[in-house]
Amino acid sequence: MIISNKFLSIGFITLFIISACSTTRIDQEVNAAYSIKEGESIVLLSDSYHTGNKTENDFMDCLNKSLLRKQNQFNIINTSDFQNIFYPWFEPSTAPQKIEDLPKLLNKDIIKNKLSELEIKYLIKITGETKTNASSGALSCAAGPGGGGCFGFAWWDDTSSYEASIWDLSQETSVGNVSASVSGTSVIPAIVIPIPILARTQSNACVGLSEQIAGFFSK
Amino acid sequence: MKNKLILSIFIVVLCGCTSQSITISTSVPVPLVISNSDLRVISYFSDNVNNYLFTSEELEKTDNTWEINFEDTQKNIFTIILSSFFDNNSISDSFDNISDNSADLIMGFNLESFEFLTPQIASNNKYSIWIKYKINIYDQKKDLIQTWSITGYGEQLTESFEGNDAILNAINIALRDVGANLTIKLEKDMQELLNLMQ
Repeated sequence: MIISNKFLSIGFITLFIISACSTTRIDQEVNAAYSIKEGESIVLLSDSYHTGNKTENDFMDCLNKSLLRKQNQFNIINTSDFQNIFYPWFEPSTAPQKIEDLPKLLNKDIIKNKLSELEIKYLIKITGETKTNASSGALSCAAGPGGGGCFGFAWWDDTSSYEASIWDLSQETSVGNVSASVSGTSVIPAIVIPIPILARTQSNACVGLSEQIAGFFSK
Repeated sequence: MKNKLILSIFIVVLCGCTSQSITISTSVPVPLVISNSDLRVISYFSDNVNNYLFTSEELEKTDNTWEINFEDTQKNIFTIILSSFFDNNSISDSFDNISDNSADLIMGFNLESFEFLTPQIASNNKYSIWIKYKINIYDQKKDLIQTWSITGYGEQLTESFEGNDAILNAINIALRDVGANLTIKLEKDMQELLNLMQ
């Protein structure tokens, strides 16, 4: 009985180590010279769903919060606040989708003056999403007058892949791109009680990308 | 026995379909535009803009029936947009109550269509909303000078939303998009409107 418990424990630990692992890949590309001074601000804006982009709202919230924690060199204007101040010029259907769209928008004095007033130097466009690539297994639960329980094993593979394109609003150019891609397998083994062991790919991608952005400006 | 049967049928009917009732109270920020203090603008709104109650039709019904009460949300959004462009802006009850030469520009708003897809209908994980308005624009003699079609689209993934929050958010996004599209249309076509008035 002691041996079987020992094997069971080893089995679970092995399962945990194998399953909870995730792989992170980060990339950085610099296109032009850049610098940011203390007091200047950046804004994160996700690409529009009108173009097929599906960046989740909670990922944008996570990125805003994570960047705030990771640096104190520059200010971060919350995405919703930015969209409200500049309504309707940075809405999903009206925001510039490509760097080539930027001059047309910045030709409007009222927008340019507001950006100067708020010292917003960089606009960071976020694209990407979390996708489930594959899933398998079976898990069934039942309950009766004497109690209930679950039995089975289910797993799925997630990939969270996001890219940030950094636009210099004063130069009207893209100064660089950073990206983070995290893949991981989540499992739920169940012997009476289901034990979810989740690969937190989205939150790992959020941390990875925010470190990339903070690192980009600290150089 | 008969009473039991009726009771069972009543319970099945009661549980089998649910009615979702939601009230919209969206607003939009004041647009970042240059205002015009020279033009006198009067706007009027059709009944389905003043106080619109959407009830789902047979085709749109799946598990739920929907009742969406817009109250005066649409009217308030249009008023915010018009007030940001025109300092001298007022509202009339109807087109007939506007006297000749009392305004340089008269704008009439009518809701043409409101459509939505639920995750059940579309077999996906999002709510999608389309809204379309027809805007008639008249000069000071009350002659029709232009007709605009303004649309709005909003979609919201159901993940991380509870209850009716996802559809509410999709409607909010669509109405905000309507405001954005109207603002951009007004900004883009303002000069053309001024030329037509003359």
